[in-house]
Amino acid sequence: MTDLTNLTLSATLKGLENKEFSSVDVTKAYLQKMEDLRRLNAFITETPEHALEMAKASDEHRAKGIAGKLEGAPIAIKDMFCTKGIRTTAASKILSNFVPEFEATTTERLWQAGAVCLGKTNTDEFAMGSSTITSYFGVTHNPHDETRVPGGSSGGSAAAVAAHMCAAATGTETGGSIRHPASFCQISGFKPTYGRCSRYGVVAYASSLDEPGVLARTIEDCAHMIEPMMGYDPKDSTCSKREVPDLVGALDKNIKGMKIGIPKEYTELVPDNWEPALQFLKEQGAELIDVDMPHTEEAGMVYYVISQGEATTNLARYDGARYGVRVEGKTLDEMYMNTRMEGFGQEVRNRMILGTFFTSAKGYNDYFVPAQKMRSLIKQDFDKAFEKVDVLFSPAVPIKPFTIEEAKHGAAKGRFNDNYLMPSCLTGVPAGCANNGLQVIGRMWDDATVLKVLDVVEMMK
Amino acid sequence: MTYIIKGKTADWEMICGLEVHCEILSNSKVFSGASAEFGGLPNTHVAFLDCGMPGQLPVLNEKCVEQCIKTGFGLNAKINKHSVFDRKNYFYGDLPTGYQITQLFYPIVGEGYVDVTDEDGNIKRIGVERLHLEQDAGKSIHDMHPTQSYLDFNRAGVGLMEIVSKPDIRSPEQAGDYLRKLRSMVRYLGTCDGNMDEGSMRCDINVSVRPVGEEGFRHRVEIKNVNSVKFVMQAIDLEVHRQINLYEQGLDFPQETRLFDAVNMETRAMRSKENALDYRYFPDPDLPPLNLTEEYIENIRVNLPEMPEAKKKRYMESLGLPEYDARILTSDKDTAIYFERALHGGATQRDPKKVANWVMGDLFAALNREYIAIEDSPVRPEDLGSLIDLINDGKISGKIAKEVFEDMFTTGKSAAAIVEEKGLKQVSDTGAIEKMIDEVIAANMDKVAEIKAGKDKLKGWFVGQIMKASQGKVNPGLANQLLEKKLSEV
Repeated sequence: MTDLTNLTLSATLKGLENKEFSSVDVTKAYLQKMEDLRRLNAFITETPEHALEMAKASDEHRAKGIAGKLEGAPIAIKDMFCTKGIRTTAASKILSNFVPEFEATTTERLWQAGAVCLGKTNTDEFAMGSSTITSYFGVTHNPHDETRVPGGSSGGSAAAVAAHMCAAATGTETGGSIRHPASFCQISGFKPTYGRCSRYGVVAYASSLDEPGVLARTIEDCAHMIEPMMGYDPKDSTCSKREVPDLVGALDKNIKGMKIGIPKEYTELVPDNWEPALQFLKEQGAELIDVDMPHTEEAGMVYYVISQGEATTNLARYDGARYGVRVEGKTLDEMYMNTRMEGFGQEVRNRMILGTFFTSAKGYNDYFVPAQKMRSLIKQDFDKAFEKVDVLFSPAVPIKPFTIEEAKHGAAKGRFNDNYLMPSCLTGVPAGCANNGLQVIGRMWDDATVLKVLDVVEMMK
Repeated sequence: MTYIIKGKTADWEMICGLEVHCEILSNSKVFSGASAEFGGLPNTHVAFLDCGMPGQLPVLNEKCVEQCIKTGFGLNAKINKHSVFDRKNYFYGDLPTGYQITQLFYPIVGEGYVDVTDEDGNIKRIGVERLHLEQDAGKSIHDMHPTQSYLDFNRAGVGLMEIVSKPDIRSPEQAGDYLRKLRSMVRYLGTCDGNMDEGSMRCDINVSVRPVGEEGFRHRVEIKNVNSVKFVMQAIDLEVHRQINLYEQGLDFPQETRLFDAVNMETRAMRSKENALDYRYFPDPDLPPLNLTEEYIENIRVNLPEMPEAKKKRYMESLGLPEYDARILTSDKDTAIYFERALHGGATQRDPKKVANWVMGDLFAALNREYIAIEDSPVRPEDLGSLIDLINDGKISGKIAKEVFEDMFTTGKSAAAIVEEKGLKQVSDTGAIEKMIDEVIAANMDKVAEIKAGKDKLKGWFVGQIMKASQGKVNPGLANQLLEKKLSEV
């Protein structure tokens, strides 16, 4: 029998449908792989027993002919999604003992579609980082070179997908946290339009930026994964009532006549496959048009001010009073200080302090308000570009993964690390990274076209 | 005569504004589905959001929005079609998320006013700055354990309307009447139960003083969480005198927050402006701005119940009641409801003045005596109406009616039943009355002679004797009439 973990999600679903193997078979294969590659530290919590129970139930569903869209497919969940009865840590000591009594809307929908939960994947603490080195549960290694980081913050999910420890995984983006590790681990990643996926039950980092999304081996797999996660949820006031389009059906591999914008600010540094990719798109019948995105450079600063400002209040609830880790003190204030000093890692504490400053009476007017204004200008860049073109095309992260040592010495602060990713996070437009490191960004709500173009990009040899 | 305090060095006036927090009457909390009911065992009305679980998001309860708009109309205020929710950040045990969701920059209700009666009986208009929607905190309980505090999140997340007045209040009496008017208004509208004892209406006082004629404002002191009209008036009075006293000794004091201590009758410093908190307000990214349509607001307006001022006007104009009666009867929603139910018996309307007299007289006296709220009155308004009918129909005298009322109040029985049981029905049988008069005249011929000699006053004595003989059941009008006739015949 072939190794079932070598199948893409799409192939796994076909195999299950054709009864070539059962969900229990494929789940066992993944659990074995997880055990074999535990040294990569992709998972914070493995749930093998739970996975086998779900797989058995899935096989019964299939037998009864009531299979959901992801029936029997073993997947991994970034440990930012609250899972009922399964420890959810956000990779932080402060939540290291937290078991939610409720389920995130997006994961609930995945289980309803029949997916099987293998475990919870590692991330930077509270998703703050792009190397998966700030986790309380240790560093995750890049499966392609274990001395290097997998990117982040969804590095555990990316490593698990790349090392075939799951068929697909969920991720979250705030400032590039899906596309960045997808690029570093040579897999596909997609974050839909802000408002497509409910944030209910997702541990908040920066509410106006946080977007649940997916990582998988191909864009087609991403489309299979993301479709059931999307759609209106009355529990999230920022979630859209728009109907969910047929995303898998949109992948018709035809981009003839499509206008693809190349933002010149995103091509300052490009990877080796960049020129061939442009050539390939032209061959596919697309028209390439140069566009200007003049406020790209400012996106990084804007991102830091807004994300840290929001994060500092979102994380205020972790005070040791009601759940999570508590470190006692003589007074209430002392208990807060002890709990938060010990419960949060250095990176989170740094961002809390900066965020507190950015939202202080003085910082608000000097930084937060100007950042919001600049955010509007960045959005205008996109609006203007999309008057001329259907999608934007560029490298995702034009640099090679840095080593764990380099990451510990601030390599992630380099300017080419995430400056092609952040503008699209600030504007909420849909964006994805193909498994060859190239990204496509689309108009608000036009998630289908982004996936369709990415699917073609992945056809390139 | 305005409220001027004669000091040693100057005549002083006070400047005061009130911030009143009203808990919104709604089934569920403002951003979660948990019950908003008062009380309950600790931590039984708590959704995941109300204890600040990760990943929990607020969803606005439309009922609370409606209640704010209604109250806005009650304040004669502008309803803002666009409002925004902000986070007010601070750490405290009973604040589960580390921030309170409120509306700082764009409140749902803008400027309005409340007309109050001042110490001289004049109408004074107190401006309202704004009304905004926010969530309440939970409760910290510090006295159950020597070293630990307990937390109850039942109240955490209940909707609050904060009504902020302009600094237009110039006397403790104005402040008291402002609060009474507000309470009456929210109770009329059913937007808050106005119960200050249970904390569903709470008041923060901002007060400063200055010599009469001085321009601008001096240091202001905030007195937090005062929970009765009486205490608010006392706290202002105390604070005003404290401030004047300090100024007159040539001393200054910091802009600070103080607590009112009703036991020791003093205000005490809580924290000064120098270490005031920076609440780091900013728009809550979990909640989109609240945008209301003209139709939505208009629909709430046309369905508003009649407000006290309009009701008072109607009582005076179409019921012909004096201003005093109309004011008393409309000062409280439940009193007005009682009055109107007693006024109408089926399709007919009773004499408004007579009903008003009964409600404001015997009923109020009995209720006050027994500390019973009018909505819990043992004499139901319909029964009071029937009692009044018995008098009008001449079935019982006004004097007997008072006795019947007391019986009704203690037993809860209807007037007709009591009159029947006790045989109190008025005697209107001319023959029977004539017989009684004959007997009284026969027994008192000496007095008849005195009347004949011109001592007219004695007629009253005769009526009294007849009433006595009949145990008060004789219709006094009839008795008088027949007595005249009989006396002339003697």
